[in-house]
Amino acid sequence: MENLHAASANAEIKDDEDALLAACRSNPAAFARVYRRYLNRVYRYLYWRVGEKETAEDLTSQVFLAALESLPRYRHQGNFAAWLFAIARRKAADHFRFQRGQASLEALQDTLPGEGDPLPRIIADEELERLGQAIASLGAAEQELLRLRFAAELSFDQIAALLKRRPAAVKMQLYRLLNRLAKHL
Amino acid sequence: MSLLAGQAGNMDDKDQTKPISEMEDRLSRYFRSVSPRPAFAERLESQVEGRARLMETIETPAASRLWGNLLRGAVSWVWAAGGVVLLVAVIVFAVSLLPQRPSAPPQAVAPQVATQTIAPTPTAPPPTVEPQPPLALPGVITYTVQEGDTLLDISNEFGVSAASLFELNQLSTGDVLNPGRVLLIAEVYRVAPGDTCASIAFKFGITVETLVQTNNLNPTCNNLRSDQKLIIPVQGIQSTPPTPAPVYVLPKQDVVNLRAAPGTTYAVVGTLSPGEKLLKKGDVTGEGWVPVEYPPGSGETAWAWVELVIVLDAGDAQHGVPAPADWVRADNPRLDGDKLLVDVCFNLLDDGDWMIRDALLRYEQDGEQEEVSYDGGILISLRPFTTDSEGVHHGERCDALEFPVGAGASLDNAALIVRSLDAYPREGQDCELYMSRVQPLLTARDTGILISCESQPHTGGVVSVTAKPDGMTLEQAQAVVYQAFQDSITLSGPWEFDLTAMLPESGNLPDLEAQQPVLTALRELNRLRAQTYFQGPGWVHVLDREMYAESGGVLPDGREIPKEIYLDQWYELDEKGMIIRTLTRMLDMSGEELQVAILEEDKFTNQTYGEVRQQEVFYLPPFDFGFSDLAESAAITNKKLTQQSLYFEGDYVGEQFIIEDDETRWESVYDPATGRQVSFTTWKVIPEGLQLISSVVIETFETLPAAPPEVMAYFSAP
Repeated sequence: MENLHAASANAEIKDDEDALLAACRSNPAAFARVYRRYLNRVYRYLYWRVGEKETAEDLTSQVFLAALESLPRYRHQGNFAAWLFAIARRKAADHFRFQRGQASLEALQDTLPGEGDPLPRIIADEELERLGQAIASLGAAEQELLRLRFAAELSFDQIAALLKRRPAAVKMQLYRLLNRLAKHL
Repeated sequence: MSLLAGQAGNMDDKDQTKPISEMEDRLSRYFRSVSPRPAFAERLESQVEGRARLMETIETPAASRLWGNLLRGAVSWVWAAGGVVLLVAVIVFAVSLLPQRPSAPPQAVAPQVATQTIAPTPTAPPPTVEPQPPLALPGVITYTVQEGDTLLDISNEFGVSAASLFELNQLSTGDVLNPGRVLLIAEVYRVAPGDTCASIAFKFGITVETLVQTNNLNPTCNNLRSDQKLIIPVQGIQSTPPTPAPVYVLPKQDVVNLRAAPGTTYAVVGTLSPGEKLLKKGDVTGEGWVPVEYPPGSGETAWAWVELVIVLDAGDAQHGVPAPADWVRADNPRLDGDKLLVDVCFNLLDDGDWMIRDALLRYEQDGEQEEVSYDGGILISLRPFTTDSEGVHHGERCDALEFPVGAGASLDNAALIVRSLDAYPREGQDCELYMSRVQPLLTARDTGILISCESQPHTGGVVSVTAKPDGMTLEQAQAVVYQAFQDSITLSGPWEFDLTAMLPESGNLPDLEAQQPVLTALRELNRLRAQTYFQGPGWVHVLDREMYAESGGVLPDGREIPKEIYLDQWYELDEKGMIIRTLTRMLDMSGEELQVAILEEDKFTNQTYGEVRQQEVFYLPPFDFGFSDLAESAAITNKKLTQQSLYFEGDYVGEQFIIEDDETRWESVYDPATGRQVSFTTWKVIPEGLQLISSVVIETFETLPAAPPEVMAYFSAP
């Protein structure tokens, strides 16, 4: 039920988001509010994609600056999050293209949150570690789905728009996956 | 429970909800266990806010594009003197460009370098070049140092880098330049990985022939070594500035009068009609009259009222470096509903982030000529450069351009015009570009402007104008620098393609010999797929999404099968990889099960409707919907078989194989790493292009040692 609430909260956000984005056209400084709303989500998505704080920060900067620049071209009313994360996905893909060999997905799965940073490492409990290993054993598309849902916190509709698939299909795939993970753990 | 609607129907909701929602919580905690560092978050926020504020005064689409370019260039400007970031000047600079963007650098400005910031002697005599150098090397000239010269002066005078002068003349930092000393002058370039002769020639604005001759290279220029030093002749850098791009005047209405002088009281000497264009001859008068060359080619002037015409600043599209015609090619135009797609391939110089800046599609709709322009800023798919066994670089990339067109669009008289491409510097490479390309261009154009650039994290860099001619304002200088920046990153065509001529002609026989390597590549993928997935005994699970232009028929209960369905297929294989039995579940898009069929030996059971019949085994490896079989017989059935790398929105999808004849086109895409099929599409060839028949996207393709219990349950069900 928690997720049903999350979904309706998303709907409210969406409404005032369109107003906010409209405001950005006449008053681009309003974009700072959009930034605050999405910073954590974009950062987390990129962090779990690239596995490094510094790279995730660099890419996060690029995503917001690119979004700000492209805002006049943004036309898909009501689907801003999908649009923003499309930019994030492209930036991440570019990163891997240019850094090929430097950070493969497999390698970063060994990186726990905050590696090199003693405190988070202590906090990262056994449960998270086990979960991390289970996630690492999934296919690339499945990991991406989890990132989009839980790091980017996108709704099924938004993920579907992003992946150009039907919301029902996304939902089905995710619940199958959760089911499998739950059984596995 | 609506969230679970997509699940397989046989699951017990009560049992499943709990672990799933628990799992969701745990995953949420896991993925939220990281957050951006507060210092970073704040820094980025102020950066975003700062840029957003800069955009505030700008409203027009042209301005937003300009701003886009500025932001993409990621460069802010500072005063030379104070080093203070001058936000106001940036706004003035951008706005002043809007009404009339300089189509050429202001040549009228005297090329006096503001030497006081560089050298202490503003009265230095003009440098003299000795006619016959004593140390003659091809492409290298000599210069005798004059009283008061600094190395920077000389490097700017000849448009070569100071580093090159150091290297050629074996100077070190403590050396004093005594008047009378003879210096060798040329640019020295070190070959970087991925460079080609063409890319180096492009970078310095010289021809490949000059580069080859100067450096005594192999004529095919395929033996460059990394770090090899090349001499770039100085005359190449000091090339004459490009001639200003023509500006055209086009009519906004059916007939526009052309008058002998600016004013309605003067005689009408001619008219301008749609489809015609005239060359703009000068500035628009204060009263709004624009001078044009009329009659065309005569050199004479007539005047048009500016409100009735469009002034097309071709400089927008045609500035920069003209590129060879064969660098862009187009193929395979096709209509897909209300979209027109055309594959465009680019043979570009380097692996930069090239974007299509400006393209135009002309087509006919219900007998009317229509135009749609391509909204720029689309990244051209990137493919790493490869070097084949003969040392030749390959860097062609292809993309399908998509244009929205109306329902009645036709490909009769259709044309695609790609006007220009550009590649902005990547993060952290702004300064490199400014100093290695923009400064030489400014020097070659005799602008008298010197710039410096300081790299900065996240913003790219800060460019300062350190010297400019007297009488030129900072804003003007920035405009000239900006123009040079634009020019240095732009490749201009236009490349024009007659799409109608590309439509498949009937009776066009395929080149059977040419398709042999394609067939070999496809067989190799099949072998790879078998090796990856069909190492029986075990199960192969395929989940695909299928879409049909027309419904595939009706179910035994009379319901129509939807046009879009999922097929969830389970194949049990023996140790030889042959199919023992098959389960196929047909689902609608909400995940509801429409029917379940089992095929064991030759017994086909429709479990949902209790139907049992004899049927031949329908799928055998290679599991690609029969595409490979069709490809094998393509040669004898006069079908064309081709292969290309498929990209979608800049991302590599896989290797696409295409079989086509006069009636049908089959496309199958494979992942080259595993041989797995990604998608399978069939098209009907119609006079207007292509019409979709069916599209299958394979979402899951996996091998499992055993099928899950819920799948096995179907086999044991009555």
